[in-house]
Amino acid sequence: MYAESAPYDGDVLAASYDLIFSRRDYTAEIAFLTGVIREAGPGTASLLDVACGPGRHLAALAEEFPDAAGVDLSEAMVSLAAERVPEGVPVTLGDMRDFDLGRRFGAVICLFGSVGYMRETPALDEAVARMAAHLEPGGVLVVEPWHHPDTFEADRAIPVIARDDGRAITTLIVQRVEGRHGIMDMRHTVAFGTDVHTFREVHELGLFTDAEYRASFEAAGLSVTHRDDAPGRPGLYVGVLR
Amino acid sequence: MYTDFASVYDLVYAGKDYAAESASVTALIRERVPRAVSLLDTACGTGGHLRHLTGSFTAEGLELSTEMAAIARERGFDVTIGDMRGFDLGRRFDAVVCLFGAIGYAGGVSGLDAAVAHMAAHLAPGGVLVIENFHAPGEFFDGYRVADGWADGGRALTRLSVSELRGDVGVMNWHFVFDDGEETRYFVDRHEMSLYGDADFERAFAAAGLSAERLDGVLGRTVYAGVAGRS
Repeated sequence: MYAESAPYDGDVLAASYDLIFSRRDYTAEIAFLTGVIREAGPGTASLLDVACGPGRHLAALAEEFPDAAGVDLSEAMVSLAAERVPEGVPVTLGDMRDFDLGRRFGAVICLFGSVGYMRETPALDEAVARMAAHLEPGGVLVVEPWHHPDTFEADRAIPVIARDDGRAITTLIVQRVEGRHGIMDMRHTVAFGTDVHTFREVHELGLFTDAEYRASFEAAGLSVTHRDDAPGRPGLYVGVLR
Repeated sequence: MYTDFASVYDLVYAGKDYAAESASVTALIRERVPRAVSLLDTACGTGGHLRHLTGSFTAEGLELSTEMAAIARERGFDVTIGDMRGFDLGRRFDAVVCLFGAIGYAGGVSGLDAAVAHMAAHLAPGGVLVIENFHAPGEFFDGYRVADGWADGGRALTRLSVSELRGDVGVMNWHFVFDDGEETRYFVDRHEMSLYGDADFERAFAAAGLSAERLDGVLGRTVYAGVAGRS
């Protein structure tokens, strides 16, 4: 009955992503992020969004940093983002562990806990190193972590709902912990007009500690500070390439 | 119908103010039958109203769904399993009620006539019949989508509702995902609700020897009430 889907894959699910996260306050996040980047790197002119998803942050940040680019692992997300971002902002299919855009940026960001998909610290270290490799000297890396082991609520089920003019969606997220991974087992029910689609996505992410995030920055040659004053999320790690 | 839904019914309607509604129904009955003692709640569901009505009346229920009736019985209510369109409890009541739009399940005008006739046949002389309508034609829309979610203790539920209008039938397709703390299930409940207007109630009540009085603002939806003759 429930179609299994790889996380963020499939056109219908990808198209639902904006609706699922419609309550996220993108305007406040983008203003905060811009401030963080400008503070750590006053002359920042270019920006790369790693795991850019459907490009909501990227489209808005491209107004501040016109020399912008995005990378995402999901083909469906890359095409959604490409439609949304301003002309001249390339969105490339790639894995955060081994992408190579052949150039460097004043700022690299990776938001919304996407680094959690690295699951284990060696992969986290690789991803942070790849991001650092795309930074100009003195460039700024901003990573929004996923949950830490003590902030993820296991054995909890969370209903999430959203609706707009033509669509409605319900998502039941059932959370559990397996070893050092946090699992979000999601059942989406989406109505486009009167057509109802059902999808199940299982997201398995690494519950990295604060020390592990910091160590990955240090190993990539970045200084690291934690900003816990970011709106509505678990803070941000901000690093500057030495 | 209600097979799976029974297990989540009370989570869905946790926010419904059964106490206030029951107080309104009690006042409505008392205005018409001051000394009413006995009450039958047809389509009583899990007993949400019975819980409060038993404070004012010797109340019992009739329910078509065995799953819903089982929950009401576990809660200590006297419930007979039966269809509102063809039941015979062998006794009469000072008040017969049918609330929360359950009359919409009667199935067209012939079903409404049969239900009202059987309810009226269970009225004691001078007793009152109270029916809360589902929706009138024109109040129900095609392609209406509603997303809902509930969580309570270890349980959580989402419901995506998509409506269809088919003539005088309003269909609600409810797509549920329910996690009870042990497992997660998906199920679809389809509710085909007849849409009745004033003329339908007037005719059905008249055929049963009652005069239908329309009352708005007493409950969430329109209420029709009729008092039986004394003899």
